[in-house]
Amino acid sequence: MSTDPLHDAQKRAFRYWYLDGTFEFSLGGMCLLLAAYFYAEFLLRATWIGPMMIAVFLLVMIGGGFLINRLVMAFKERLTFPRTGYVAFRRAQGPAYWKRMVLLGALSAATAFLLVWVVMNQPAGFDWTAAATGLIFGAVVVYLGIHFGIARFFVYAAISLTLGAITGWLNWPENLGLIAFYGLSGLGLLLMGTFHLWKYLRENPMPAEESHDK
Amino acid sequence: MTNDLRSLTEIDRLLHEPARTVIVAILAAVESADFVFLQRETGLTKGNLSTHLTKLEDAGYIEIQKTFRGKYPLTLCRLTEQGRKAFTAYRKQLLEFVERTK
Repeated sequence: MSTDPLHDAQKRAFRYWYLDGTFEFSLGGMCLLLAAYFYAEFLLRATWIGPMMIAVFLLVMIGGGFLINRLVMAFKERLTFPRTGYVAFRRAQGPAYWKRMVLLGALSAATAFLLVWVVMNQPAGFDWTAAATGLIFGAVVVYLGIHFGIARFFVYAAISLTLGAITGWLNWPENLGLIAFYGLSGLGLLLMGTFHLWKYLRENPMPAEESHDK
Repeated sequence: MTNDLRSLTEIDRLLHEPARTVIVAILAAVESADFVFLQRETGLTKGNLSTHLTKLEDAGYIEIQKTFRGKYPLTLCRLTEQGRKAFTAYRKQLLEFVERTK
C-alpha cells in the first residue's frame, strides 16, 4: 500500500468492481461455457453438427459473454449498488484507446500463435495445450492482481498453473485435458465468488431506506 | 513574503479541505460515483457529504445528476473539466511546496 492516502482512495475506487465476488462469477461462467463448448465439440465431432461447432465458436463466446455480463449487472443492481454504491469507470479515449486496442490485439495474436504452435509441436506424453492454457490464464490473472492490487488473484494464478500442470501431466486424449482445466477452473472460481459474495453481504448489510438530500 | 509562502497562500482553498480533497481525488479516478459510494469511502455523514458536494458543485468542480440504476435512485457525481484542472493544479502546487520546503 502506498503512503499517499489520496492514491489509496483512488486505488480502492479502482478495486471496487472486484469487491463483491461477481468478477469470479463472470470469469467462472466464461470458463464453464468454454468447458461446455469443448465437451460438446468432443461429443459431436463425428456427427454432422461437428463442423458447425467450430463455425459458431465466436458466436457462443460473444453471446455467452453478453448474457453473463447482463446477469452480473442485474445482480450488482440488486445487491451491490444499494449497499455500497455505484461507480462508473473511465474508459480510455482517443490515442490511449487505440494504443490499448493495438496492444491487446498483438497480445491476443501472440497468444493464439503460441497455442497453435504448442498444439502442432507438442511432444507425446504431456498435454502442453492444457499446460499453456493454465500459464496464459495465470499470467492474465497476475496482471489483473498487480494492476488493481488484489492479492486473491495471485492465489487464482497459482491454482491455474497447478491445474494446467496436472491436466498436462494426466495427458488425456483429444481435448479432455482442456475441458477438465476449464471445468475445474470455472467451478473453483464460482466457489471463490460465492465465498467473497457471502463475505461482502455479511460485511455490508442493506441500509435502511432513506433518501439523501443532494 | 518568500515565493514558497506565496505559493501556499495561492492554493485552492476549496480543495484544501481533507474531505473535499478525498471526494475530488476519488472522482478524478473514475467516470462517476454515487452518493452511497462517496459516503462509504469518506466516512462522512449524509449531511456533511451533502454540504461538501454542494460547495464543489457551486464552484463548478463537479456535476450532480439524479438518476436511476434499475429501480434504485442514484445521485451521481462527476468531476467537470474545470474540477479536474483545479485538482491537478492543487496537487502540483502542494507537491512543489513540499519539495521546496524539505
